[in-house]
Amino acid sequence: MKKLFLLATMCGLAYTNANAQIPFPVDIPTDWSSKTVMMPKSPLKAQVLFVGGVDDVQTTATYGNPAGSTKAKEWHDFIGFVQDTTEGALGWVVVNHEMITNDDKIGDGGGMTSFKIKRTTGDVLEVMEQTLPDGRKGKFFNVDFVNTVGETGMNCGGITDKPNGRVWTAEEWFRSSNASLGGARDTADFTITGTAFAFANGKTIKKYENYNWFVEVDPKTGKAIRKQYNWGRGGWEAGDVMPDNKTVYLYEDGTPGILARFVADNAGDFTKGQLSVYKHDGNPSKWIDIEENLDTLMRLNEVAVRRGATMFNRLEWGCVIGGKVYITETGRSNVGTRFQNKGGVISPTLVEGYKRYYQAKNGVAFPGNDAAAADSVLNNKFPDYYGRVIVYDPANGSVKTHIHGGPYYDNSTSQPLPVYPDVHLSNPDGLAAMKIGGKDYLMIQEDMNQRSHNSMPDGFSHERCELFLLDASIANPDYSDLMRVTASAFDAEITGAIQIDEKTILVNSQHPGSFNDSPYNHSLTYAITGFDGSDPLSVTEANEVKAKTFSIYPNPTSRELHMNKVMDVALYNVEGKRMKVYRQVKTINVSDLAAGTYFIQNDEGETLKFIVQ
Amino acid sequence: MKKILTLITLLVTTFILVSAFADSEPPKPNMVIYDRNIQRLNAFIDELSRFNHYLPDNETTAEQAQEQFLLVREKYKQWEYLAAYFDDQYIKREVNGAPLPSILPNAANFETVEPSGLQVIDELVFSDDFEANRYVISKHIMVLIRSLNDYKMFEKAVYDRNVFEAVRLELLRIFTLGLTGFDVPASGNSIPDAITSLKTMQSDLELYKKFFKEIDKDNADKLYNTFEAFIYYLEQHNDFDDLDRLYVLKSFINPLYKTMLELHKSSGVEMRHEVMNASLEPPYNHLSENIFSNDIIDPYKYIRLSPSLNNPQMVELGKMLFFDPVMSNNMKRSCASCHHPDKAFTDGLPKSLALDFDGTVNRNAPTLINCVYSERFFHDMRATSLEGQIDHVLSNRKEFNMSMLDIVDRLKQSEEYKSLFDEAFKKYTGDKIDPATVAYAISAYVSSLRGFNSDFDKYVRGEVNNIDESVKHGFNLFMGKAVCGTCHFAPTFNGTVPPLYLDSESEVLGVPEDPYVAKPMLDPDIGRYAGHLKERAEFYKHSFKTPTVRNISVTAPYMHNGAYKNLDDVVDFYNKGGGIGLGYDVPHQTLPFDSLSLNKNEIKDLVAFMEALTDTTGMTAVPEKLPVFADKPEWNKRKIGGEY
Repeated sequence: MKKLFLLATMCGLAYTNANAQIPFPVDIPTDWSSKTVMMPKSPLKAQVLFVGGVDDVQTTATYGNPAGSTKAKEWHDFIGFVQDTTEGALGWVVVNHEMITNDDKIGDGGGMTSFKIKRTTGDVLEVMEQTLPDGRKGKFFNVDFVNTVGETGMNCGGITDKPNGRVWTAEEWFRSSNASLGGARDTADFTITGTAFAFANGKTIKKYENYNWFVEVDPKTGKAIRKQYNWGRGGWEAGDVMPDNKTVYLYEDGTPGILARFVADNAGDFTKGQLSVYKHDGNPSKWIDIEENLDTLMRLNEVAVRRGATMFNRLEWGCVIGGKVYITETGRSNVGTRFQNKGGVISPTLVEGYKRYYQAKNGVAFPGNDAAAADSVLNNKFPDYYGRVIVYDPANGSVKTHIHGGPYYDNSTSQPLPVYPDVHLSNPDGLAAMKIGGKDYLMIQEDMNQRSHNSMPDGFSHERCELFLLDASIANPDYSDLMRVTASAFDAEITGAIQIDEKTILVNSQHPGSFNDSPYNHSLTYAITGFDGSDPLSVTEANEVKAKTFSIYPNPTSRELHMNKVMDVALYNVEGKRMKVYRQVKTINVSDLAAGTYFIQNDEGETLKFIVQ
Repeated sequence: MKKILTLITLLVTTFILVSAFADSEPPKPNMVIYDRNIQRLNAFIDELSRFNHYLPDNETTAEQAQEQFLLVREKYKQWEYLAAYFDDQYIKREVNGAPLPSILPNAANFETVEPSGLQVIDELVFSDDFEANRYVISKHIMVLIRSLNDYKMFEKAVYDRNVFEAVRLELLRIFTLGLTGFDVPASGNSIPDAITSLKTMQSDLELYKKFFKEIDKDNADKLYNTFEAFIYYLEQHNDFDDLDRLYVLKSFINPLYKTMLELHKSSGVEMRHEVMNASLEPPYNHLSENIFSNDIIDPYKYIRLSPSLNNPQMVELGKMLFFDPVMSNNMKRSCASCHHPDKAFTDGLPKSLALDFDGTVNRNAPTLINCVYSERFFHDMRATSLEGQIDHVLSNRKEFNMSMLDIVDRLKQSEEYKSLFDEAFKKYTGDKIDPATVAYAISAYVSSLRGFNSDFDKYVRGEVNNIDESVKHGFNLFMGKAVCGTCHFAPTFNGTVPPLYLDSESEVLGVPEDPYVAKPMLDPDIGRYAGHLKERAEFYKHSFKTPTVRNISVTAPYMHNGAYKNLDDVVDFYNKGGGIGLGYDVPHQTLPFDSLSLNKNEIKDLVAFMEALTDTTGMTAVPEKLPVFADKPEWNKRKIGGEY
């Protein structure tokens, strides 16, 4: 009996050894015709408009240098847009630069670049030659901060108030001393003079204390207008002006980060009004008023949190749809003690995030109440890997999660091995509203904090951030509702997306890996045109091809092939040589395939012809 | 008769068994390994928990704690080859990263992260004062356990290709990081660690034995025999200082590395490049056949220039620009002014001469040969690509004192340059002469200055059969007792970290301002602290990029400030324990402070090894003439390579 057992084990082992996984043949015959899957041309068209480090910008006389030109700074982040139909134009585009470079002609901060665009034949956009009121001539213009309101640091997000044609820039990377300015040559104290803010005029502050305010700029003249001292100084990322042209919401990137609101006394005049900070459990008011005192405003975060404000985990960008304010809370995994002993309260969105994480980790719902979950967040038990998009409803003052980030595995599939999710959403950062054919969408842009923890598939060494559209009418959306529109260059952050009209959005690809192909190895601004076509977002299941063992349909916009089930698939070129192998997938991204003929074989050996148009 | 009976029994039994198995198919190797991978993580966590359970007990002695910690390491090493292959970033950040503080990446503000993980615990458990560290160790273990428990959520799908690729990566890791002592800063447990890794891989590959033998018997036999022999060899030669690493490399690591690749190829199992977009791959080339082969690292991963854009005309154009003083404000200096081809593109000076003889620049001119293999450029690591680096030189008042736009304006005035740019940038869509193309051309030339073809490389690859005994001994010291290889990683021997070669490191050595005075003092240059704005961390004060040791025999004087005149003095500096060893305070010194106890002969052999890394073949040609500017006769008098 013992012998038999041994033999059985041996046979079993032999059987095992003889079987590796199903290998797809390295070559397949191509001399027979079969059913054909067609991938039509994308209805969308990309066009590069403005390349950092390559295009030159026209500068004003700065730091003793005469007006002239220099290479544009890099790290494009926010895109502001102001409509201007003169000369047949669409309007002025103004782009933030987050990169700090000491430049004689621009100054030592990040700053902004402004340019005017028009649409020409074939929906091609053109950057127009312009002459500014100050005499500068050219296509791209540096926005002058040095000679107007004082320099800025890392210009990240901002606010575009489209109806009223106004733009503000914000800067993150909170400065705590002159030493943290990054070698800025001018570190002399700054005296605030001649502003609209009586509480600030005449006050002398340290150079670094003149950083981290919102700054209103005028793209048409290439000049900064004012530092918004009455909105407070903070790690601001972005904000939104409400349709009443009085209320502004402001989002702070920090852990803790705060949500602030400014209500102007008179519509359109943001120099007078009331600043307050959000406290979700406030009673009766959920907003704590902040007094107009420069010292208080200079350390707004500290004051707000001490007074009990709601603490978020890195608020980033926002947009307003249907009167509700959507905001990205990008998250960070190693919170440590940053929420502790500050006086503020943990955001309900982090409570929801923690419960989601707890469920994924333990397979059961968090047993405690919300207060217990908030305690867990406070005590650093929540590695907030992926962040989320949240929504604030001014009607009732509530804030809640709209869509969770995170490629937590879907444990419900019956596959033998874990399946990497087709769609994942890591660290949503950029956010904008979009209207296509009368329908509202959220335009969500990733800026991954890590490629570990499933943010990228296992074994991948670089990041690829994506831009998704999400139908705003979906009540409780999840990843399967996200529609991929574009991806950034590798290792870049995709950001700044803004819809300029029914046809076109503008997008930035920021700080890409140097190994990307030219010009995508530089930070750049590009346009995607074609959203006015015959519903570019409809998934063309009508084009589904049914084979014997599987079926498949293409999505020309997202450049994806969708199968009817999770399977192993190989892609062959026209000569029948194996090019790609995909294990356990339901969707294949073919955006990097050139037009031509290919073959697709599934794990049951069935082959289809595949044509990319 | 008895024999026949046995045979029949066997056949019948086999038939029954096969029939039985037809219903319930036995697990495939990848499924078995998938399961093992989960069990290995669980075992690692269990062992850590056990360790933590003992620690608070005051009866537990330092020796017992050390013994228990080595059991933890064993469990980690069993998990490592797949874990680090699947998620190198996680392993580096939370499990087995260097015991040094770092800067929180992608953060909203400047923030530092205190180190955690096995290497920190290694240092604490094996420190002289275990008692004082008892609770700190426990804290670190709990952080690690929590992180690993969270990580269980992220189960890894294991496919055949993952196993084959992970094995090769682990062989590279064992050689460059394991056997050098990189990840065991205090325990020195390198060799037992390597044995554990090897045995784990051996047991997983055992599942493919029959399959491999069917498809490629020679390589299969070679693979399994070499694994056996390698493990046996390490068990017999378990002294860290005495291990013959060159023998290990030539007899086991490289043969296994190649055999595994060939088996993967002949198996028909898909390979990494068929699974991911090429841009998502690391610089490490998974198709390389030898750890010292010229193609083990993809240079294009570090530069903006892409292989599809590059061409020989561009390299020639870049060479022209490199030697052309038209690039500098006074038209008397070129890149070659500080980077002489005959000195492996250094200038023999402690610090290079500045423009208009205005003193010197701030630092020593580094060699350009193989400089491309770096995530960052400059001694202070402030530039993130080779093309970005060029800009700094152009605009520096003490170097070219030009702007890129001025250079573009100048170049456009030469018909000859115009046609050279047209020729080199046929595929480029923008203006043929613009800031990007000027940088690409120089980058094409500078990145062409590369190669692992010294006598030593050839010996490793078996292209020459012998090399001096002192070189062999020197290499073994370099990778072992003298711990040079834990910062100057093979095969570039610079600070770009294997096995993926994604990140470059800098170190705080405490280099003196002048080592030849009676009482040396720390060089005042604060290095990386003043480099990249987002890196102004105290621990980066006096931190400098780890340069390559290749061609070091022709690049004197040494260090960021050129303070050391010869290699003997450099080695002596390390031997004494860096700045702290010289007797002054160096906050955050990353170099071990204690003496390396190298004797004179050992120093001599170390130097002999470094000298054997010299090779500038085919890289030293200078253009015979420079392009003409028809309308600028006075410019045509400029000297090739500049006047000074």
